[in-house]
Amino acid sequence: MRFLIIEDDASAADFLKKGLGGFGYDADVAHDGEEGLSMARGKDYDLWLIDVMLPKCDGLSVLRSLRDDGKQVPALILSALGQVDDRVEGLRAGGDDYVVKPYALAELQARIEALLRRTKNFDDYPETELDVGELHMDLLSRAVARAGQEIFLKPREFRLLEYLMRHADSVVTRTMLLENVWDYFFDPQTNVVDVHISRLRYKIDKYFPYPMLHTVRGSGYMLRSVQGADEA
Amino acid sequence: MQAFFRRPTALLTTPVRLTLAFTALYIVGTLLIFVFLNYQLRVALVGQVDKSLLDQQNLLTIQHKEAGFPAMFRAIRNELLNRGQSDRTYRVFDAKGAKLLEAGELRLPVDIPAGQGVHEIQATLNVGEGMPVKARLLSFMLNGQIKVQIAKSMQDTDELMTSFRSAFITTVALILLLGLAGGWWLAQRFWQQIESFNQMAMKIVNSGNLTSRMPVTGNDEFSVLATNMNAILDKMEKLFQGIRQVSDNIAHDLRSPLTRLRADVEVTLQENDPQLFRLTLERVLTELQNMQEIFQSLLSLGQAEAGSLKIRKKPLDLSQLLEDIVELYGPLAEDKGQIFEADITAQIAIEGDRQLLAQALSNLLDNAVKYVPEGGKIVLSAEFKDDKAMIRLDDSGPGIPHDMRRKVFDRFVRVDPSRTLPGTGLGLSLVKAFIELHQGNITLSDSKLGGTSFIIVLPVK
Repeated sequence: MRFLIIEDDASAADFLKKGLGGFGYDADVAHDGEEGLSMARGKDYDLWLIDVMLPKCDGLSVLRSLRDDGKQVPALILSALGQVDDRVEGLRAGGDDYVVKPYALAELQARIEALLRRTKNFDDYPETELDVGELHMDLLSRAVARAGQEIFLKPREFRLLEYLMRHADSVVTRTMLLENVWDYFFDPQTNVVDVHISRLRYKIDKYFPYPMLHTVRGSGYMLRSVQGADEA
Repeated sequence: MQAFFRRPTALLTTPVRLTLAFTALYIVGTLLIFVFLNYQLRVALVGQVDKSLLDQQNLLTIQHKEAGFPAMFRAIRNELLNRGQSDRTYRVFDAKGAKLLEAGELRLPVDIPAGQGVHEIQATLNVGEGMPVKARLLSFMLNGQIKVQIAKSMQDTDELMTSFRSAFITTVALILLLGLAGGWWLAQRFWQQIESFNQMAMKIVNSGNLTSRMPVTGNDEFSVLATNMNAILDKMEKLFQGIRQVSDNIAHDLRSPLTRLRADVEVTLQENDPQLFRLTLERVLTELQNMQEIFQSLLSLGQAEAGSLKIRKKPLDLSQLLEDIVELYGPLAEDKGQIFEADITAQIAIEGDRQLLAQALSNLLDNAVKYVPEGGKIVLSAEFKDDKAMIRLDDSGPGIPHDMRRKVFDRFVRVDPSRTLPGTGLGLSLVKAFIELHQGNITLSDSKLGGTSFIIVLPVK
């Protein structure tokens, strides 16, 4: 796996590169828009991390040019601009996800994994059923079962579980859940998401021999397809 | 700073220039009219004189034809006598050129050929010192032998022309004077108005005091301009106040955690204990997260109050938005042993920004869930009333003391004096700012449940 970081702040880029290295990803760094553009054109990367405010050529223009070239590499936009409008503009320019600075490394890691998984599992046929370990979800009849035993979920719980199942075995953060399950782009002060997770956990784990929905300390949650212990 | 302001000099002001331009135009126009009228009048007057001469010719010709020379002479005599003031002069010559008759006030030059219509000639008056006058002269032959000359002085015509000219010039001069005076008065008035604006603008620029306002007088375009400029000043004042307050707040609420951080790091660095390093770094991370939250809230607040926050208003089902919030917070309240009820009228349609309104309501519910004790009650209700959407959030919590109610929407004001519960003190400021971005307002009062009641009124459009 090799990523391209386009970021003009050299030390921020360096920290990011080191942080990604800790998760097992290598990265090259470009320090301005033009350099980023030529590096992205010259080599096949698995992911682009693009800062918006760059010297010479801003990040969104870089991204637009690359998309115009027909490049389909997943792109994560890193920006100091956090308004909904900025986010919409970033996604319109061809970004696949948008993270507002300053971000937690754990948040970044979770989103990167979600992006890589999305491209890996890219499928022309929309799925009608999801299976994760013992869990089975029928998206058409909206039925959910674990080990053949039916589980009744409220609509929001269904969407929550669907998102977790689509991102099974990787970390999803609270912010990702708020954005994708509730469509809220702000973080409430209280951890409302935790309560919803524990409700869901009660329904899918309580009466079964081992838990599937795990809390990852400091980051978020993970739905594991196989039996395993909680992370320390 | 003063370089920004140029004062207009009175001579160059627009009305003065306009007045001068119009005056010049007026003078040229009047001159053209004068030349035209003068010419027309003279042509008409000369025509009259010539006609009277031709009438005489006819009369004398008829007299001569019917009754011969004596009758004609009589007729001339009658003309001169009967109309004592007749200003015509008659001369009659025989075939050899001998003068048969000469009567009238004019002494005519000697030789003027006959039969060539009316001429303009230079003659002199018989009376006085022989003053030269212009005259019209008609010369014709009778029977091919007798030459008759009739002349009429142009003195009357010239006098008429002269008085016409002087009357015309007097009138024009008067109008011109009036126009100039009016123009000057207008220019003066205009200049004074503009000057008062300039004075005020300079005063504001030089003093940096944005509380001054343009004087608004009357109902003319100047007062409209002044009102609009005042609106700009209002906006600017608000913006600057916002900026000032934000920087005050940042100084206040970010400096203290920074001080803590610095002390913590410095003390830790004096030791050489990896375990301590780790603990300190964890504290630092938590503190940084708090600061980040404060920073984000302050930024949103500053932007919302200064009006630079982009609000994406769209048709919105407010009832659905509220149901979603209830659904989001319901389990949390339940876990805390609170009773959370909703009484929301279906399909309240408004125009608004879903994210901002949801965030505002989420802040209010954060507070409610935080402060209402176990067994307490929270009720969110909404209805459509008087063309407005009204949202109420009642709780049975400890309530907000009366003296705090005014201040509770201010930045960094926290009702909980011990500050034991987490919070930035910015939540309600943000709620108020977001609601006001929707041209709505939020108030609070005593709730029938015993605690606080927040009432939000939103226009539907």
